[in-house]
Amino acid sequence: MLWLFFGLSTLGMGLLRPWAMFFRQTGNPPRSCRFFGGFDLHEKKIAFGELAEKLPTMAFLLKNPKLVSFWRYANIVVYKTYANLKSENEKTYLGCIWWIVEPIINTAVFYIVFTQILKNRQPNFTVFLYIGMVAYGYFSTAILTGANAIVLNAGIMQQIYMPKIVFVVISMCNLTWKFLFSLVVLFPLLWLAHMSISWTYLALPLILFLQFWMVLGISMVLSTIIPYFPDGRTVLNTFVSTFIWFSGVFYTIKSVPKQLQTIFYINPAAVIIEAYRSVLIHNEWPTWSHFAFFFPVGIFFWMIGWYILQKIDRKVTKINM
Amino acid sequence: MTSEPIISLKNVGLKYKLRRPVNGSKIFWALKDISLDLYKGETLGVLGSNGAGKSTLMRLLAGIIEEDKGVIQRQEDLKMILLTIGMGFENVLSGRENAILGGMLMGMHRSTIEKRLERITEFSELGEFMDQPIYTYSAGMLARLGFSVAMEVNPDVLLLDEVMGVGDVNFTEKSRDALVEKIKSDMTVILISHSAEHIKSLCTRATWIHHGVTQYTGTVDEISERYDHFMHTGEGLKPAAM
Repeated sequence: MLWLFFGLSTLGMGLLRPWAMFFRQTGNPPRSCRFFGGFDLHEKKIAFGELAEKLPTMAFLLKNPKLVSFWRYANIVVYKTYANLKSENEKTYLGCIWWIVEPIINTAVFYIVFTQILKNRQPNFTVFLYIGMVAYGYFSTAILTGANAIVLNAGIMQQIYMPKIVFVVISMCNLTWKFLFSLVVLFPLLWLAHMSISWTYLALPLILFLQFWMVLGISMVLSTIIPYFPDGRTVLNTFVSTFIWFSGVFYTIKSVPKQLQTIFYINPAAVIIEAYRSVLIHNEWPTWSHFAFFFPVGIFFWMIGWYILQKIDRKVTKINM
Repeated sequence: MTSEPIISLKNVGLKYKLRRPVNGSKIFWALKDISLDLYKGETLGVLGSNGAGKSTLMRLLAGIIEEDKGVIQRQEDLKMILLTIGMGFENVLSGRENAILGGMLMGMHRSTIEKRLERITEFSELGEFMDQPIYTYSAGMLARLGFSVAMEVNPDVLLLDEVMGVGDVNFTEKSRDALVEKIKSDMTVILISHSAEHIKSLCTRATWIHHGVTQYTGTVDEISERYDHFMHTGEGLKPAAM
């Protein structure tokens, strides 16, 4: 049985490898670094700063030093995100295929447990579970990597001044890109399950934005704590792996007793997962009242995170991380 | 000097918190009382023995860490960069991409680096290897790439930790020459060293730091003489202020 498993997985890897190569940048010279088949960062002029240089009417913007450094850091975020993604890709045999395979494996495991052992009879359970796993996976990895963002980049920070928020944003962009990639798999899955495209898909960017917004705010706050309290990493690891049971990944929150539902809706992960499901499975608009609640909460986290990051900007580099 | 200094430090101190006490205290003042002025276009040498606080001072000037007492006045938007070799390099990326990444981190605009990539390739003598991932590089090649990128950075003030040469004999000379040329140009440079020789040949002014306190500031000859005298005899420190 074990041999069969290993045999099959090796075969699977062999079959998937060409796809990894396809998505990966191909051949020399990397003057044009093709990424994900045609995503060409080398050739593309991404910098708005450059645009401003070319348009004389926008010259006044160039004179604002704050704005200039903002564009500078925005450029760094884009290029560093690209560099990190590429670097991660090159380090593994299957590269970006893992971004899809990992949630699929997780979903498969829980699917077997819930349908075969616990006899769950919910319709569309695969899609239901996959959405939950992917969205929760985004939250958990975002919180873990975001919290470590400052510590992991201590090397660069010790050599040059860089606002610490840059590193948090880089790790969030990195994850969001992977998340979008695993969402792509979702669509064939939806069509296989006979679900239709509807106008409610228009809410997807908004959900994605809320998700990004919340996670960035939370990681900003956490990233300021971890350098001073490294044990927090272990705490976070435990927290993240247990909290999946309270985020409605395996059940809908509507099945929770009424008096407890409000408590569940305080959890942003639960709200986001439910929003994705209502749009993608039921073709219904998400519950706007939850959004109305979480935008200010996100801003609140942002403000706290921003404030502390400003405070420790040139102090955190003194401690040995 | 008649013009205003572009950066001026007055009685600046900086402390580190330690896990274990030194001399009965867990707080260690790496810089105790530093005062110096830097003028546009000059090359200021900072002399000091090991543990004098030179590197801490550099990090402080580069804005990486913050002072705990005293006043630092900077001209607005002053870009000060500590010259580092191979900062932020990613192993699996190509030399070209790493050059762009490193240059961007050091404050260059992306298009600027791309325009200068030819020069970087030429100076580093890497040729075709520019398109190879840098894990294929030897230590010398890596150093050459890092150095060539660093040479393209033009901040308002360049902070230099020793005059370094990298790579084999041939490239060591070449890189040293390039660096010396950069120092001798009208760029403002702060150069730290523990050897009076370096400072003598390159700087226009010098200051001597000992145990986190500026001792004397003046002409290169005067300061290196004082420093050498102190290093050999252990005498000649500034009388402690009451």
